[in-house]
Amino acid sequence: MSQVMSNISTQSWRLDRRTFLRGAGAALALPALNCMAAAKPVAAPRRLAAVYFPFGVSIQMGDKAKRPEWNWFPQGEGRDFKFTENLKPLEAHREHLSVLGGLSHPKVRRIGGHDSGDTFLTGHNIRANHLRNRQSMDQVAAAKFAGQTRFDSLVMSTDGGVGEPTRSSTLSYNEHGRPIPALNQPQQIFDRLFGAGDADTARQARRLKSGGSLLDLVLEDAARVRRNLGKYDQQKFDEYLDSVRQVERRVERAQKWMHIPKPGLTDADRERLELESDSKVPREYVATMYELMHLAFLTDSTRVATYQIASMGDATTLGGKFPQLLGLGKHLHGLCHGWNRDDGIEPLGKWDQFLADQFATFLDRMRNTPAMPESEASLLDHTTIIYGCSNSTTHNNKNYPLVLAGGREIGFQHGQYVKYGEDTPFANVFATMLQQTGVTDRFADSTGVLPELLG
Amino acid sequence: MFRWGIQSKPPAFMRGFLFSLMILTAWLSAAPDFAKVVRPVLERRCFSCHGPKEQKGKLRLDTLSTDLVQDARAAEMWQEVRTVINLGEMPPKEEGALKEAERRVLLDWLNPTIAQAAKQAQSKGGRVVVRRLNQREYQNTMRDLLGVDLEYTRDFPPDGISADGMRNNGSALQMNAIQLEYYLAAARKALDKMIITEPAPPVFKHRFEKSTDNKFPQGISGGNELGRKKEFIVRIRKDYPEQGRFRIRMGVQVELPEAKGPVPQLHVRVGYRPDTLVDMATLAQRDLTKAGKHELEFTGRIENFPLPVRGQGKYPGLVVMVANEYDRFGQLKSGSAKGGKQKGNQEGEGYPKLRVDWLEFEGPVFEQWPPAEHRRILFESDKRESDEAGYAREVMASFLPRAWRRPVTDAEVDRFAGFYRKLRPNFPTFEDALREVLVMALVSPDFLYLMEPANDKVRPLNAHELAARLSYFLWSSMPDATLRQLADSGELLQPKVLAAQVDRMVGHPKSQQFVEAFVAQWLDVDAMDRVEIDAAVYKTFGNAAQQERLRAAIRQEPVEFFSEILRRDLSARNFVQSEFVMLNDVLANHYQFPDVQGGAFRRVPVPAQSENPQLRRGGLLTQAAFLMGASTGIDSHPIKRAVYVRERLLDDPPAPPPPNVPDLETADPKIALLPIREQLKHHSKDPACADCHRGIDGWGLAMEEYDAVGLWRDKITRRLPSRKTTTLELDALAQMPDGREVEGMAALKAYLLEARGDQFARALVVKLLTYGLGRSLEFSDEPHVDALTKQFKKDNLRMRALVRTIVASEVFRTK
Repeated sequence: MSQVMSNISTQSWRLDRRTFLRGAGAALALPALNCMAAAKPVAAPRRLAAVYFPFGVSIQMGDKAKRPEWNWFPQGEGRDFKFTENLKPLEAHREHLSVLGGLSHPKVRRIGGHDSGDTFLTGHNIRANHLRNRQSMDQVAAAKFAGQTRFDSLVMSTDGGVGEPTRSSTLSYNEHGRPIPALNQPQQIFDRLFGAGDADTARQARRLKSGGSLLDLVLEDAARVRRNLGKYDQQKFDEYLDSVRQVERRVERAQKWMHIPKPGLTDADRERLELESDSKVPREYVATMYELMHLAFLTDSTRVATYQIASMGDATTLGGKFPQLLGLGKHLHGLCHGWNRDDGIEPLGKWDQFLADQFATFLDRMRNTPAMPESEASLLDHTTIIYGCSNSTTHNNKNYPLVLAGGREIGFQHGQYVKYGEDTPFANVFATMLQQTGVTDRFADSTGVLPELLG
Repeated sequence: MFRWGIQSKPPAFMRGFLFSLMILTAWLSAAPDFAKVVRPVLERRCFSCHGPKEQKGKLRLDTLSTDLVQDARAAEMWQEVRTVINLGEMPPKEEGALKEAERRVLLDWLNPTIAQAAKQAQSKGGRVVVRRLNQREYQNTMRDLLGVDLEYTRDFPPDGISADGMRNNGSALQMNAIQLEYYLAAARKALDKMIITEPAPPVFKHRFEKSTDNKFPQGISGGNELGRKKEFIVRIRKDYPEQGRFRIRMGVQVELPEAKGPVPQLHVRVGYRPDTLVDMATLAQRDLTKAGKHELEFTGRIENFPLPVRGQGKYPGLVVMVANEYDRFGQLKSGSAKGGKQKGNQEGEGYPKLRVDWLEFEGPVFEQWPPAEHRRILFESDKRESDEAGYAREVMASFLPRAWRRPVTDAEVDRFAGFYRKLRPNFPTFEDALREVLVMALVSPDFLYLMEPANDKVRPLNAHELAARLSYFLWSSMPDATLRQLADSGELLQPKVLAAQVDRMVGHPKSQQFVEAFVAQWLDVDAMDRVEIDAAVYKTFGNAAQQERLRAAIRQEPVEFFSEILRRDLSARNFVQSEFVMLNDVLANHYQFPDVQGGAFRRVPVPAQSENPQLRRGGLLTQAAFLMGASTGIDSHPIKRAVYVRERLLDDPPAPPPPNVPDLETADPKIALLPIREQLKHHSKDPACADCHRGIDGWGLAMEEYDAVGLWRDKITRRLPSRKTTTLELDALAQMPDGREVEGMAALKAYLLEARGDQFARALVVKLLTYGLGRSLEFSDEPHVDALTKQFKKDNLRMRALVRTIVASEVFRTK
């Protein structure tokens, strides 16, 4: 049952196939294994996250590079590499991350440069498929972990909702390839994770409850009906009875969550949150979204989270205004178009640096939290995180700027800058992440996992 | 796959049939005696290793049960034995291969015995097994029951298909938890829309006399005069509904260059613009065949169209686009149209012109509030205000019989009323609680299944069960008010009343649902979508949008063709050979038929004596849907075509090929150069293959005149593994299983009608009865099929008569 935490109050969302009782975007959710419950898992759970920003980065490569110090990709290669200005804030976490160069989704290389945002986690050619997408990598994992935590996934973006095809404001797509509305208001996310819930939650609760007794009655009736059937019909009809019983059990488990108190937070946790912050103050806002992601992992409220820092929706979007608000002059799209202009390189590089700085803070938080109470390893060591963009420079759908971080306790080996050729699909990174979290060893057009990232 | 029955003799055409066919068909009578004939061969050739002394591979044949029906393990073993014999793996080389006569004896026993056991294993005692509604039926039923036309089944898992290709087979239609969750979700979605607590929403009305946008993605510009890249575009930025029905009216002017010449094709789409693309769905397509001014009106349900997300797009708003699709892809160069190449407005001489003077949008539209569909369920009643629980009971007492397609007992209504009382305290409003109670009715087996409760004895259906069976047969939906009344009064059980209802239902537009479903399942029209056409060989498939349009027309042809035969009550012989075809402009252009204008399908006579061999069409076998579906996408595939004819038209599918048989075209590159006849000969060198192929190849070879996209050809172009092409002489001479020679499609059709006419008629009875009953046929159905076939022939193979006879038959009217 995939319970995605997202913004259903403003979206017409669709049920996905593993979901029951209008569960899809809603906050209430599902069965069993809660970290708050008595039985604690023996091994620390494995987690997966993805963070995305649009329009590419500052790339200054080769002989003609005007400002090599503002080239997003590090100098050197392998373990012997040196961060430039853009990623300098990540230096402190060098041994916890790898920079990946040369990767891209092969099927997406030829579509419009601004149309690739939707495909970051799917790798699907949406232009050739009437704008219909496929299930995203994070949701494959969410489906696998379904029911183990209160939420199957936490889907966030600065702009919230789903946006429009090619200008998506969510990274996550369900198994029908439909966008999962993202949450964007810190207070709302907080309420769902730790508070009393909202109107959707209440409606959800009512329906879960009535759903339980409804199925009870249906089952009673159906048992009566069965007695009047011949033997072949009875055999066939048992399929129905079994289905009702199964659904009923799921509802029961779902209802149990309603009685399990939401996780409490320490005062220190609360202090770090700026729930009032809005997207007009990017530094505070992005930090808060990262912090909510961290808290969701910390409390084992979910195992899967995505955050889209800004969308390809150009100047009309909230995230698109971040550079202006940060004093970098232009809206995001314009800023990124300056990647090769004398006066454009440094502002773009500073934007890259801002993003890296925020990401570094998140990594820091993850690193300084134990994976489980009294555990030696950190939350970061049990979490694999992909961070990056589907453009290198704006309009260019190749050579994605990517950082793969975390997961040293689940087999990842870091502290390197790995350059790939075009014959390696980006999906191989996802296959590797999914393999190490115990989900599957393939995704979309992957051709294998990447052993060099594993210890 | 049953043949002549216990009571009837083999039909004439069967006598003197070739061996291969006999293997498949003769299993009731012709299997050799095991003890006298088969066992001695096994003893001689197999027992030494698989007998009392040795049991190599843990297989012991001398004691293996020969009762495959009772002993499933033995059946599996014998199946394995057949495989190794077919593959020539046993006996091992050093023991010497089986002699032809030995092989023959073993297979003649194994093939029918295994087939019979398989059939028996699936038997449902000749009874219709309780079946759930399939997707099509569920969608139609929800729409008809609730009056809310939403896409309920869009995300449903696909329905199971039975071995005989049907999607309404009770055994193949599974139920599982996921399926049930979807039903629950769909019911809630529908009732959220239908049971309304909000006040009437604002109604938005707009009138446009000019396009609101001049530049649109894909080079389309806005304007009143519609052209190839010019459409009437309106974008309603804020004031549009997101729920309910909407109406679009427009005033247009049509100018026709000449009588019976090309006509404008109106295409109205609704959707939105996500930046550099559009995401639109079709509201209406219509040929405008009369010159002058017209007012047109179309309605739709806005939820079924792509909708923008408010506040998130660069080009916010709901978009309506009106196009003149005539010659959108420049593919219609026949007729008098000229100047097809120019860009922009199609103002070339001979082009039919379409101008939009104005367009009005209104939505949501409702005649009263709450809307009629709400009032039908929550009707006016004295109790409504005074006694909520009593009213809830009244509502259920009226809703349940419609939803469950039968009268309900007081006790049944009480259970729902009780559920309502239990829920009410937890819900803020009466309507909220009632929705859940209605949901319960829609996930009950009485709604989801065609329930015909019966013990193990056959019994006649009661009037309501008959109404439901009839309605799902001919409408793929629930009975309407008329059928319900006739069931309530019991009149439906009178043969005359029943026959009159069949005629009414076949004549009703809802019967299109039957035609579409049956044609798709009988003829496996989906096969054409499983074939990728090589655009390097077939240029018309080069452009994606053009291909989509052509494929849509090809897919539609068999449906229109069947529809024509059914509605006009024509003879089923037309399925083999007809003097007419059903075409629209796109398909006519593909087939090179002149003078077919407009996107609507119509009957076009096939010229009796035509110089142009392309025009020699008629019947199912010259339709591109079939020829394409049974092709490789590059060339014809004679084996697929032959299997198709035997399976679908003659109900005589050949045995599946033994494992490890290579496809023809993937064989040796040298063989790739050979004519198909030589390839097949090569392929059939192995006697195991030759057996079956004797009964197969002829059917396909005779159709070699037609290429992979269904066009006539006089030369065969073949693409080699090296990707070079080579040209081969056309050779459509075929030896049929009975030894007769047939050359070309026309001769094949004549042969089918003359030599296999009875078999074809019987096959059609089998297919239609299978569909009508929603179950696979069994031995016990033989007499029914015989009787129906006899009557069908008496009725001169008229299709409506067959439908009537089936509905009137005992097998249809009993459980």
